[in-house]
Amino acid sequence: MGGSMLKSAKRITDERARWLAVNVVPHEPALRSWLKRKASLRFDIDDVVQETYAILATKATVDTINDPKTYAFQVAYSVILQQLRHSRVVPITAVADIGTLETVMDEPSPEDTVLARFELEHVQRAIEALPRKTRAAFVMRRVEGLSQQEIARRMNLSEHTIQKHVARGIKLLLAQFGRDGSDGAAKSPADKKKTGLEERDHAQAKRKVH
Amino acid sequence: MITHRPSAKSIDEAAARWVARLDAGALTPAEDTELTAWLDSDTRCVGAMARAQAYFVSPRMELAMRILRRPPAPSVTQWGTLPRRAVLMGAAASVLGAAVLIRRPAPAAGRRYASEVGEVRRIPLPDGSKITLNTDSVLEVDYREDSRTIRLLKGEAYFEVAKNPDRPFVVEGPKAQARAVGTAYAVRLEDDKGGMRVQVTSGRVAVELPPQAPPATAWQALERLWTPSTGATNGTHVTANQEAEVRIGLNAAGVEEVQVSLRDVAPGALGRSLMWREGLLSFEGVTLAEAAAEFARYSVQKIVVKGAPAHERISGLFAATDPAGFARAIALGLRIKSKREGDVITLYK
Repeated sequence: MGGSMLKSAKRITDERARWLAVNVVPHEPALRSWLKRKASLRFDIDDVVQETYAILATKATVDTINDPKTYAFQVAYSVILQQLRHSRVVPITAVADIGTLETVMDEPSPEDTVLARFELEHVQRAIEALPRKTRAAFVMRRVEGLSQQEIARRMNLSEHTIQKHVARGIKLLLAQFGRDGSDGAAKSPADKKKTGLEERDHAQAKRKVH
Repeated sequence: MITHRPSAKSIDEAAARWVARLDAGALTPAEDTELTAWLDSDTRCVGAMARAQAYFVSPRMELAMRILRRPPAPSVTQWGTLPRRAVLMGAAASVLGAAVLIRRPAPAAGRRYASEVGEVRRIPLPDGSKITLNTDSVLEVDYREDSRTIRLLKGEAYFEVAKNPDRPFVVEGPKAQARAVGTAYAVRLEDDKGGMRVQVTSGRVAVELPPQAPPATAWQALERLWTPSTGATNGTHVTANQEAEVRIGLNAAGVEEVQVSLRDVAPGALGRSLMWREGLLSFEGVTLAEAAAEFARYSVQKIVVKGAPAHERISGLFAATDPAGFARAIALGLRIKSKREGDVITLYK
């Protein structure tokens, strides 16, 4: 990612991306599992997570944040409240749950943390699950530090294809630690019956590459 | 009424593409403009982009890769695309097979199932297929060696069909039928004239004229002479996340005609409209009058909305058999009044 001069405030700098990677990404499974227990509030967990990242990414400075985990949970909480105010009718149970939300606000329960850890072996499994060629390109890029051009040359593939593999790798990892993940998997009740479309898409992606 | 808001999944996919693109080198001015427009379109895009970048540069990912690292030894010849093609061909063949094998059993009385008002009933079939019968509905199951025929006589049902190309699964309405090979779909009778709605959550369903329907036009009569089965030739194919509506209208000559219209439905919206399977009703920006009419299908208690509040749009998830709870929530949310007399709940300003 070359350094460029005039970037909009919405472009995320490499520095901020690394801060998020170190300080927020490891807590995302816990955040999702916490959000999942608030499912009666009828919000979309993926939307809340994306909005939370947006707020953290565009904040002028993150130097003042001492406890990124608690801070991320507070941001997610404010996003939910915003969404609830936005919808015209809130289901009755939601009214009671907003109270509960407040009391557990600062402290995700211990089981959130235990059940939804971003453990190294979990990350390893996710990487192992990548299609072979995608994983090879990803390792050359991230571990060996080769450029996409160089990877293309070594794998005897077009640069365009390598770019596609990188994109697919990111996409599958995002899904693994988000919607499709077993830990902290977050599905709103309305989505639950989508009859495995996502799984099929995942399988198709794999077939395409092998 | 259905808002075309991009799904979190599609946003994630776009974010992954952009991160990979940025990683490949500087953007062209056109791409730069495109990325800015995309980020401006929805704050969720900004969040998804930040998240994708963070995962891409995550030191823990890198560490995991280092540990896992094996000799990549990529040999180019191994990576063909043949298996995928073979799979696609296989799928096409099985669909064709189903169209040819379709047979017409003589009409016979099957086993009859009915649900009470407010009841959602699940009916397992011997082959593993499942029927979920919605409130106040009646259907007949005619289960045979070479066919599975369901006659929907009243109301609505959702079908999860075990795949078996040799035994077509057909849901017959009064004027049209919906035929599947292996899929999941809902059929709802909309009026007493034979109008119906077919919503497909996975697979493919053919909406077609039933075999015994009198030919509506001369052209169709001619076509029937040439094709032994009405299936496949003049049917409308409905695929996942689509909905077909069958209406009984009149053609230019004033003759009754079965009309089918097809439209795409956002996956979330389809899931919402099928929440009845769990005893819930989900509304997304519908008018209060429409919501009250929907509740009327599930309970002997009726909700009457008087005056302007009937046009208010509401969203939320409610227990299908609790119209009183719904009325309370609405009265609170819209700051209107509600009163109850016997089985009638009135909402008014």
